[in-house]
Amino acid sequence: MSVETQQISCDENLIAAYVDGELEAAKRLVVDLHLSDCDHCREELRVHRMFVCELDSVLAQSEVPVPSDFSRHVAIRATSDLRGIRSASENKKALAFCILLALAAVALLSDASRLTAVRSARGFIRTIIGTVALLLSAIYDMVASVTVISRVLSRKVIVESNSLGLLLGLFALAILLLSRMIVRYHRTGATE
Amino acid sequence: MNVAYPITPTFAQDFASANDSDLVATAINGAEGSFEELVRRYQRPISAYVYRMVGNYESALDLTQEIFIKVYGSLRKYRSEFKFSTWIYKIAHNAAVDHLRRSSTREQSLFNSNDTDHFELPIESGRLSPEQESERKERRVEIESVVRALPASYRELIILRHSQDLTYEEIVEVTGLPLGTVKNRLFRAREMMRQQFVNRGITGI
Repeated sequence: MSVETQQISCDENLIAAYVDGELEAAKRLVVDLHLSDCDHCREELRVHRMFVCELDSVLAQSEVPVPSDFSRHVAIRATSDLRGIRSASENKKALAFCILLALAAVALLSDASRLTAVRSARGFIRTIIGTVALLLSAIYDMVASVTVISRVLSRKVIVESNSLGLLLGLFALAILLLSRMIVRYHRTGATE
Repeated sequence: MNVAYPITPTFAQDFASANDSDLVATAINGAEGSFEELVRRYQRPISAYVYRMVGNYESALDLTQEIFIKVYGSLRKYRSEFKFSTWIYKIAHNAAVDHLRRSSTREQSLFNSNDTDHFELPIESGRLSPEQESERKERRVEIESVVRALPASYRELIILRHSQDLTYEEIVEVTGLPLGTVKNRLFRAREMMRQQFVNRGITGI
């Protein structure tokens, strides 16, 4: 189909693309042809072109001030970033190395903690043994003291007083207490 | 596949004359200065694009920095058959969209009509008389203000086209929008802006 035979209706999108220089040569010729016949589109083209020139001249020249050392600062940050430029094999190596380091750290820590635990346990056992020994020693001393005191008292009361009646009385009391204890023991056994 | 480039002092001195693809290749091979040269080349257009998208100078600088760090981390994914500038704008577009999504409420307040917290972009004036300078500055402020008032999806196309001088095809690649949508939105964005000028009683634009 020749350019001359193609007809287009007024299309503002096409005018915009024409102004932006974004039409193919053939389409551009078609628009040129339409513009030669259409006053409305010619006016639209004039206004649009002026507006676009104004936008270009203002927006293209405006700049945001960037600090003088911005590029150096950014480059240093980017290259020191661990997530930076790494190949998959490098990443795998780094990961394996990290795992090895982590395992070594765990092993060292557990060894250190084991030594500490053994040391603590030893200290604890020593304390327990010391306390028990002290307790047994105290009980032994107490029993020995009671034995000595009771021996001294019995000697004073029984032997030095020369009272046979008192001696017999104490003997009878002992027999009585012993028999009652034996009876209580048997009763307790029967009721269980 | 990446070509192994020699990292020699002579080559390092030639960073400024090397093309983007060569700088990418040498940066991947660990040449100090290659990536810095890439940042130096693109820091101004990327920061201007980001500033116009997010509307806050400090946030724009932070986001620009993040974008370059992402670029560095993705250098191996870059294919030299594509334009580096389009690739970097695509990364910047994704970062800006994420930022606006994260701070959508804040973004609304940044671009309302009585916004006075924006940074005034400097412009290279050349040799103009004081009157011309003043008139130009006034016009620039009006245009910047109208651009800020556009919805983000329209604003971005105006910035990419008129500030960054991207073609329709490049805009399609950066934004991922169909060509028809890009054309239609660009036209509608310009219409919105023209209507804004009419509403503000500004003529001659």
